[in-house]
Amino acid sequence: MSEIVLSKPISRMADNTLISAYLKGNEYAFEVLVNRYQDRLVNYLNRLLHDFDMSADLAQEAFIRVYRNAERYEGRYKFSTWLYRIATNLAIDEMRRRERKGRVFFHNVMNWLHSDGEEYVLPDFRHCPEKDLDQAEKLKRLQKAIDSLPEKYRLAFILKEVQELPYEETSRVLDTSLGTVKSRVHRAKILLREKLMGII
Amino acid sequence: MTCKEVERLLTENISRGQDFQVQQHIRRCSVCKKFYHDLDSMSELSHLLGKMDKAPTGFSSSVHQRLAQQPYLGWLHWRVAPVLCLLILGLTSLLWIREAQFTRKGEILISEEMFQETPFVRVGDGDLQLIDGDAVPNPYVDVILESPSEDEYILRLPSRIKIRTNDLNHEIYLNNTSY
Repeated sequence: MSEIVLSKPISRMADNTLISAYLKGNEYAFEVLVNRYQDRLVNYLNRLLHDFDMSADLAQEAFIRVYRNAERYEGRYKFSTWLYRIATNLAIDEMRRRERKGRVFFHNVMNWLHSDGEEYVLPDFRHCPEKDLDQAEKLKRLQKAIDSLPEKYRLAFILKEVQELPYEETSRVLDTSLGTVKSRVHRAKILLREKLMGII
Repeated sequence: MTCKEVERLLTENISRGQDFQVQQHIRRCSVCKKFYHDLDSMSELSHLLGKMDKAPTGFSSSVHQRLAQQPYLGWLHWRVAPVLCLLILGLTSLLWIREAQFTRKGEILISEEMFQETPFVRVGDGDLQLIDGDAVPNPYVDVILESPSEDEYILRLPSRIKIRTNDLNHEIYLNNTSY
């Protein structure tokens, strides 16, 4: 009696299976992982850095680190957790480097202008005559509002709400407790709502 | 259910807005209704923000190109670090040994500031005498005179000398107990 073995196509395999396949010498498995996560990772980094070329560059660097350190991946957490963690560390390094070099972005400028320690409050859009802002404008303003958040709230919000990672995964990426992440996301949403009152 | 509880539930997960209890509260509370509406809109916008950028074309091949261009030296880092540590340790030991040898040749470091030390020799009107009675084995001793106000200078003295002075209260303090 002949046996029929059904196997999933490699492009549909789970991340952990792909990593195992790559560690056994299947280079194509790594390729599949890159294709699966490249957009999400570039988007995530660009939300934090606002420099598309730099974001693409750091996303590539994150994959290079995965490629070279795949044997260190323990499999206790999801592959995406590990990947986002590498990317987050690269982004934080880049943000620190920019701060040191004095390359400033919107929120840094605002922080300097309000260097008395008070949090910068975005202009009040409630009096804006265009009540019905188009979606692109709304997205732009949401991004600006996110940029004005303190880093710890910004990271938690982007991972949880923009990248749509579950709370547990967000807490692992940020290496902090579940309660802390929930509290940061809560605080971020309250602050964003205040900043975007009348727009959303 | 209080407004605070509803706020907490909605910020944790917007889909909780569909819970029966939350819905009941929202129907009769305009503040929470507005809050729910705002968070729901923000959630939709955030979702769109997450889809805004795509990786540039050729992203994957660029990763492979970079992998080919940058030789992986990761394992070397783990080997270079201990070698460097050993080198530093070796150099430090060498300097310490040389210093010790130099000192043994007959050098006594004297500081005017070190009052907490036992006087090494007491300068009186007579021979230079060691306090503990040991004789200096070398034919001479190099005495380094240090003063905060003056440059350091060295006096090479015979190991047994006569000092003539009007002030019998001078004491010489040893600043190098390894001698």
